[in-house]
Amino acid sequence: MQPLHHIAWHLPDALDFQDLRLSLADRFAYKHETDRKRVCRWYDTFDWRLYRSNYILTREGQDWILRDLAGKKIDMLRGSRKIYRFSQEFPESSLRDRLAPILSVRALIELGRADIHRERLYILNGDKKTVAQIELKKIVSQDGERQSAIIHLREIRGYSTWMKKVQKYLLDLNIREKATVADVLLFIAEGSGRHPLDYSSKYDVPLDPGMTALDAALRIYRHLLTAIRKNEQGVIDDIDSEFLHDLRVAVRRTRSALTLLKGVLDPAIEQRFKKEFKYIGAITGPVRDLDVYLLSRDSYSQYLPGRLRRGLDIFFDDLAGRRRREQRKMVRAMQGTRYRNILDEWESILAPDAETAAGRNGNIPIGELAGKIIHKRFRRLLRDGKKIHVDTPDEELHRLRIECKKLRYSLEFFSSLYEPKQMRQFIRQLKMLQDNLGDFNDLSVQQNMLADLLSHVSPGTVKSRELAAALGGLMTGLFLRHRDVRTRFENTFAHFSRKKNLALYHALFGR
Amino acid sequence: MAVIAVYNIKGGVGKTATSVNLAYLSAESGNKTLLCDMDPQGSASYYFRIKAPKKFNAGKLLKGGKAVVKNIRGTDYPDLDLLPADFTYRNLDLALDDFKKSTKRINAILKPLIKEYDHIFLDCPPNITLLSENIFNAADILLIPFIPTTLSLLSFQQLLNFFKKTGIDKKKLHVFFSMVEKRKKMHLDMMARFQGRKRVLKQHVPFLADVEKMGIFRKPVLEIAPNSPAARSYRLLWREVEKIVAKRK
Repeated sequence: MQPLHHIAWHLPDALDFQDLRLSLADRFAYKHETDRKRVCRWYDTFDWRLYRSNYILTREGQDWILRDLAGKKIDMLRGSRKIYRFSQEFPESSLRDRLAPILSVRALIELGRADIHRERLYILNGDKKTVAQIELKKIVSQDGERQSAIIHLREIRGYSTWMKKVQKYLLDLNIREKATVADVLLFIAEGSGRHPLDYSSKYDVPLDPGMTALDAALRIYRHLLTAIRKNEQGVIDDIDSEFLHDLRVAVRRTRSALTLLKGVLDPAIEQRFKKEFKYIGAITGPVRDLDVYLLSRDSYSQYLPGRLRRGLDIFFDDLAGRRRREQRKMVRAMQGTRYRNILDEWESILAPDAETAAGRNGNIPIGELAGKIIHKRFRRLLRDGKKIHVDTPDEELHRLRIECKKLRYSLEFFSSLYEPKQMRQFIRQLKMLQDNLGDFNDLSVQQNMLADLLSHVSPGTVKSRELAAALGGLMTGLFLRHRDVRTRFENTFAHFSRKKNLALYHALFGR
Repeated sequence: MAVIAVYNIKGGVGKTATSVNLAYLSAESGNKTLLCDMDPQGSASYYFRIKAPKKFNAGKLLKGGKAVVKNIRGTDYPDLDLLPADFTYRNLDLALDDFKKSTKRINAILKPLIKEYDHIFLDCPPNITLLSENIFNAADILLIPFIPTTLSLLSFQQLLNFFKKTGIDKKKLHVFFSMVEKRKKMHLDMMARFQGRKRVLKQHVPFLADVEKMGIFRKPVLEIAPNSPAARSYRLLWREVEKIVAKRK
């Protein structure tokens, strides 16, 4: 079956709705309807997950409407007055099922809103049957200052000749500039200071091998500082867990770059800001740790038999309370002078007109320095990894995890200097090793946390008995998984350091 | 996806009003819906102000495929399309007889439409003929409007016998009372006898002037008088049918 035609044009400024109606009345019989004014709100996650998946979500009046970027209606949830932030807050519906995998843990935020005035003209034939539909849409910004008018023409199945007749008539009225839903949304977003894809949590700073290490470092630091700044408000408003996560990643990358690119800036500056960013890491750490547990609430309860789950609820409700307290503490710190000063001073050092002095490595071309840095990290990782055997204490594995992370960051910082396909391949190999070590670490941290908690449970009440039982159950589960991950390390590392991968490394970095 | 046929051996029991209003409600709740007017009188088409295109006839219908798709028309309501009836449909029985597998021809015609629509309604002509048998085979749900009188009971019995004889699944059958007049004792008695039985729907549609106004306004009663008792009873009826559709999946 042929899809129905639907065309939208911008209405020329010279033509208002009444002119258009009068003019159409000369040629066509129609029925005219005016809709009530509706407020149209546009929603997406901070990092544009819907837009990236080719979706646009709006709430118009009481309806949630999901469209593709071409404007085709994909799904709809009618008559819901409530504002939903997370996909799991939506009532059971196909819309929720569609949103859940895309949004994941991210919250919807309102990107902008506008008033929409709508009129409909139903073109009628001799039997007074509708044979084409015109929709006139006037979009007015909330401050009433900007407006845009769009005319839609829709085909009715089996009446394509009428559609063509109307289309030709509109063309004669000089209506010819095509419009898309994206235009409407850009209009809505304009007042809000956002535009599509203006944020991504992916690290992507292109470098050029000929530039000095100083220029490259400044570029990297500036990008990371912007990421920190962009996520601040979301962290303070506590919109979802990913603002804090992204902020902390940018902080960690900055710290890592300060170490890896040692001697590129003035050593005094490097020393100082290493400490300062460590402070930011410390004040934001507790909330993130709690977030990690809270996000795994569902998967935790899967590990427990039904009768122990009540204790788990006690545990998580307690965690949520603790998180609220920690969040308040963190916000106070982030609004405090030390935090402000760190970022403001860092910004002034990075400013393009600051003429920041180079350290002893600052004038080496980055192409040269990058190779040295990566090679050092890689050599050290291989050396330390090979030393690990079945009886090596856990701390050694944690140290190796940090080594991996350093290599990973240096690969990311400098990936634009190397052959992209091989680079992706090599990072993939490294990631497998990192996943193993990461799981191992997470499981250790969680076991310690639970053990600590268990030691604080005061005996006596039913509630504490249930809690203790649930904690015991969880610890057993975590212990078994921990052991399982540990036994897999040797194979994972052997896989990473196999000949084929060393050859790949050699081809990439020439060493 | 479900094919819902509205059928009764007897005429004048409210088949077309049922098809038109239920199809309207199906589309209103967001389902892509097609109403096939199978009755040569073309009443459903008339209610939607749609005329069969000049080149369309029974032969084209039986050919199926593009010949059918080309003649589907959009109604005035979103997500609701209609395949208009042509007067030549009065000879559909004779024409069907020329086909191999002549009792499954309508199945074949509907097949390409099944992936396009969520619900397909068939507004059927009265009688038990080869066309009816085709429709019984094609339908997932056979909705039978039933005026609570003795004669209706007799015709229902005939239908059950026919199902037994042809081996069509009896579970497709769903009966509801139509054109009910509460002041008639016989109607109430008949309904009392059937109420609560398997495959008898709870909701009935009363005999109301608003339903007859559809012919004057040429619109579904849900458009003419959306808050009338008639509209309400169709809404409740649709809710019940929707549940049957859902359960079938």
